[in-house]
Amino acid sequence: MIPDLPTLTGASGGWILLALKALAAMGFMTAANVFILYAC
Amino acid sequence: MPVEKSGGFGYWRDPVFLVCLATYVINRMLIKPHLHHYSPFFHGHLNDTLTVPVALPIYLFVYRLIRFRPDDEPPRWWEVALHVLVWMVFFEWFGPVIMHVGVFDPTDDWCLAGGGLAAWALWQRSWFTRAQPPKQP
Repeated sequence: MIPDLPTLTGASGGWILLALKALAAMGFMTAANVFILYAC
Repeated sequence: MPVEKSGGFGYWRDPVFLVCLATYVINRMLIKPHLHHYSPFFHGHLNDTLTVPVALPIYLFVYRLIRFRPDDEPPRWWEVALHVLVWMVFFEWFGPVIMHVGVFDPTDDWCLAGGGLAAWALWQRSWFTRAQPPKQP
């Protein structure tokens, strides 16, 4: 059985929204890592 | 700021973050420019050790802003471990091999992991303190 989203993440929203958030988080992480690599 | 749960982690106001950020700035602005010879500690290992306590709160704050992080609890062990793993791969392989920036040095991995472990322990200490039941008179 697929766990309920609030159970899984504690956040509200659907699976598509969760996937979009994960994508945004990974995009930020990549950009920030490149910044650290060059700037620090 | 989302308010599903609040755990009291201050992100950019966190004392561990602020102390480590100050250490990084002092090293970058005051110490490194005045060194006459290459110092492995001040030019490399110190920055690697400070990576988790300085960068992770900012990363987690952004995750919180987009509501990917459901609460304001102090960084969990798997959040620290996941980012340490990503940074090891990124800074020790992707940077030097793919982007030709930086060099591979296994010592950096140890510094990154050690800094992460120390920061995690300090973050859990406040959580542990808050979780203690009140003392009986």
